[in-house]
This record gives sequence, C-alpha cells and structure tokens, in this order.
Amino acid sequence: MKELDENEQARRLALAIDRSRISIGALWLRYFSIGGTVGETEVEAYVRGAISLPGLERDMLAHAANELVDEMPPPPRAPYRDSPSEALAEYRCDRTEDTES
Amino acid sequence: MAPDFELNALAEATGRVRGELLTSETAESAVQLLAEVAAELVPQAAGAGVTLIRDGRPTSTGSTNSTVRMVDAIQYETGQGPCLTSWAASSVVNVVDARTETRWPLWAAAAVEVPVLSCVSVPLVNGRDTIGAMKVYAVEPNAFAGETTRLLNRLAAAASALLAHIQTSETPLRINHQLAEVLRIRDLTNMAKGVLITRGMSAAEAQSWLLEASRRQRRPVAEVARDLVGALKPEEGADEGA
Repeated sequence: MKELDENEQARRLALAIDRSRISIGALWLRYFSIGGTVGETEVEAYVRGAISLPGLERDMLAHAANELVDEMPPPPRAPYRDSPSEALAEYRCDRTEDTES
Repeated sequence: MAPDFELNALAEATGRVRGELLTSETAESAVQLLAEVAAELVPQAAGAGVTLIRDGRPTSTGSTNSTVRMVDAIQYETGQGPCLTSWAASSVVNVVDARTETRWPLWAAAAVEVPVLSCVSVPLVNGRDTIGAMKVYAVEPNAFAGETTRLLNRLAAAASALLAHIQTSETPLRINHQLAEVLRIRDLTNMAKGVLITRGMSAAEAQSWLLEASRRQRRPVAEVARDLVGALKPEEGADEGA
C-alpha cells in the first residue's frame, strides 16, 4: 500500500477543517488532548503546507479533525406547516412554570 | 517528550482566548447601543430592546426605556414571551395584538396592562448559535409592517457577528470547562499509554496503538483510553496482554 504524500495529507486536512469550519485552535486542542506533542504554531504551519511533521503527528492531527467532524450536529431540517416551533418544545421543558400573573 | 513546551503552548492558547474576552460591561453597552439603533430604525416603536440569552436566561440586556424593561422582565419572570420564543426557535416572532395573543397567556395579560399591544422580535443568530433576540414594542396593535421585520433582520445579521465576540461574565467559566475537558482527556490518554507501556510497548508505539484502535473501532481516542484504563483493577495489574 502506497503511503499518502505528506503535502496531499496536509492539503486534505486543511480542506476537511475548512469545510466544517473547525479553527486551528480547536483542532490543536483536540490533537493535544489525544496526545499530540507539537505546538499550535507548528500545526498551523503544517496545515498551510509550510513545514513537515512526523508521520504519527500527522495521523493524530487527521484523527483529531475526524473526531471533531464526527461530533458536528447535523444541519437543521425544515419545519412542516403543523410543526412550526419544535425547537420551542425543547426550550419549554427545562423551565419551571410560574402560574401567577 | 517536552512537557515544558506543551504547558507553554497550552498557557499561550488559553491566554489568547482570554485576551479576546471583553467584560460584561462592554456587552451591556453594546446591547444598549444596538437597542437604540433599533428604535431609531423603527420610528413607530415605543421602545426597543436587545437581550443576550443563554439557557433561557438573559445575560445582558439593553433597552431604550422603562416600558421595554418592564415588558422584558415579565418574560423572564414567567419564562414565556415573544423574545424567548424567538430565541428558542431561531425565528421571527410577530405579536399583532396582545389582547388576542394565545401563545403566551401570562406575558400577554401583563403586556396589555403596560400597555404594549404589538411587538416584533428577531433572533440574533451567529453560525449555529442563537445568542439572543432583538425586539421593538408598540402601544398600538398591529403597529409593524413586514418592512420592520426586514429592517430588523438586516440589523440583527450585522449585530450578531459582533455580539458573538462580546462575551458575558459566564464565558471564563465555559472556557475553564473546555480546558478541564482537554486536560482530562489528555490525562486519560497518558494513563492508557502507561498501561500499554507496561505491556512492552514504547511510548510512540503506545500512541500509535491508541490511534489505530480508535480508527478501527470508529470511537474517539478518549473512549478507547477510558476502556483501557477502566479495565485495569489495582490488584490485578496491567500485564494480562503483553
């Protein structure tokens, strides 16, 4: 199995985080939390194709990005005529009702 | 390993996030200013208000007069009203006549007393978050045409992006939670690596192993690490695999 070229790996990582609007800061925090060892500046430089990183660090960055992508909420769905305010129901259930007025 | 370097980087990242924070006083003055702009934009309004809301509670409020403050206060006391609905549902809410309003009976009854009979509330939306609502009130029923909604929506779109950066006093707490979570996962990952090292792996091999297992199981590294650490009973030791 041919290994993915480093530049291509960085380019597609940049694409992945860009599409999901994941900031370099957020990417680095996740990468750091799962054991990453290089700093945020280096991560940014790598994502922009400016520097090279060891293979394991590159895979950990890819993994951090994928974890964040997987956690994204699905995009909102459109309401029907008979359910205009489903979001309201969610809100109402955590309020205690004050019956005086 | 370079623990000093890591700690510095973390401190720097945290400091930078904190540096971007503005005080709650700044948030108050920003929403106040925005309320005044909204009132100017809609001349038939008796008053305008802007509220930043989190978890159903107002965090910063700006209003052009005491009528607005009164009508707003009723919403948060009763937990119902056009603004809260606008925030919760992320949509424009129009009250044509409070006397015939059935969606929020407690709020409507109180508003009629003030009197405030009509109202338009638009959500302040930034990305995936709805951070609050902006509203105009009128004494007369049916005071606002579709044009008002359009104007307020345009103002809301511009203001939301700016307001999202203005943080309330709760934000440092939220950042601390985030930081604590990052450190918790990092701790767990390191403990899991320790478990793997006792099975004869090097630190780098342990890191690779965790990554591979997480990819294979399609579960976050934190969960894989927790399983590994959780399976470890103090009296049994970690040498079952190797």
